[in-house]
Amino acid sequence: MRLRTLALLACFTLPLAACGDDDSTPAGEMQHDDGITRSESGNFMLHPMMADWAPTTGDHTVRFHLMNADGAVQASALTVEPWMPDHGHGSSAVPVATDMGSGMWEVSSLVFTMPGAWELRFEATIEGAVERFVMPVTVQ
Amino acid sequence: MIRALLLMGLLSPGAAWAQACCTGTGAGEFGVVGRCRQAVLGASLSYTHALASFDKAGERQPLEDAIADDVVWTVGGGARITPAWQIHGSVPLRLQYRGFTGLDADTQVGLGDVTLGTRYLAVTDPMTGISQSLLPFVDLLALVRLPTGRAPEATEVPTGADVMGAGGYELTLGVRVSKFITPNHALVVNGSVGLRPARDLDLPGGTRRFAPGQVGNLHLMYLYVHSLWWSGGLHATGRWTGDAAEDGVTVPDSGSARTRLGAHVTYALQVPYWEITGAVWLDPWWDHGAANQPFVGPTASLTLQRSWL
Ligand SMILES: [Cu+2]
Repeated sequence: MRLRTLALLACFTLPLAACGDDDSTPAGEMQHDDGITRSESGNFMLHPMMADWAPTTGDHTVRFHLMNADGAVQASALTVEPWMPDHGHGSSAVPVATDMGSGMWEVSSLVFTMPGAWELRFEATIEGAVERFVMPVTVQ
Repeated sequence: MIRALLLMGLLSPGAAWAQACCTGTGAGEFGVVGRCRQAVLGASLSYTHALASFDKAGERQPLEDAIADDVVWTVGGGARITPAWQIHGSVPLRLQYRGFTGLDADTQVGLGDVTLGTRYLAVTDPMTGISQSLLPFVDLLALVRLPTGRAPEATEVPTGADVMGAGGYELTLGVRVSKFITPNHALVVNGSVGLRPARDLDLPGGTRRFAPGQVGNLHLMYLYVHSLWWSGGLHATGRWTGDAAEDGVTVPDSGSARTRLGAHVTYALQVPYWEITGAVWLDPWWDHGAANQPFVGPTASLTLQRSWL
């Protein structure tokens, strides 16, 4: 846990440095306390560039970092769908993802219309293959 | 008959039976034909101001940087088909204000979800008090809520202020048991289950099938009939929903709970034709009083109803 937090800190402070995989991560678990979400294939990781990201309702612009066990990963495309699985709805605004280089993506027009449990459903195109991430987000 | 009873009530203040008769079932309910009456029309104005949300674990979170105000104008009415059987319905018009961080505040007006219902009075309380008879009023209820309000998935504004309805049908079947302990004091228990069929959501990425969880409702009321003119009640309600499912896969911990406390006072402007009801509803201000509720807050309402004999 502490190791992972340190690794995440390193990701924040040194975006170009390798963000090491954590051997203690149980396979199949998608989300961790430290905010790192694994892709469904398990090969890639994504995290917001903010420790303990807990957004409020409203419009947000957030940077996300895409990586694998060896470090930052370049994706050719990234889409994000905010979704509230308990209620079966998303938001009317379509988020815009901009490639900032070095595995960094800035997502704007990320709109949460109510407090509660949301998911950010990402699709990243990496070397021609689509990797899916489901990142739980608690909106205050 | 009713006129004779009314006259009794008017002439002798002790004629509590007549008072209860004309204030009895239907008390505190909107657009439902009251006892001894043939039809009703009503209009209600309510205002709700959201103060907090409850997360999945039931922790109460004061709203941060969010304002959600709802004003609802509802018209409704009912009529008896037979002395024991009535149909009723209500049509809400909603005005919703939403103000969120980083977005322009937004006010939207629209039709909410229309409700149609029917109820059958299966057992009648003689209203002579529990020492004389244990028989309660037993009403069998069926309600259908129609998705006439704009669904959450069909929102067109960033704030979602235009979401006026739940998006799907809800069929509610229930039983309402009312017992007059004395001719002036009654206890009411209303239990029901709500069935919500799955529906297809057409999203940019394709169709997703969403099955909302099923619903259990409980409403407890203490009713006090003071006179032909004045009556009032204290309420506690609970609504619990089971887990939702998406494309056949259950969404973990997606069930919800909402409890509310309320009170109403009814004054008959002109017995037994016109009456006005004021009501307030509060949500729990402590943790675990609800779960998975995006917006909760107090409601105040004023209702005017006209009945026909
Ligand atoms: Cu929602």
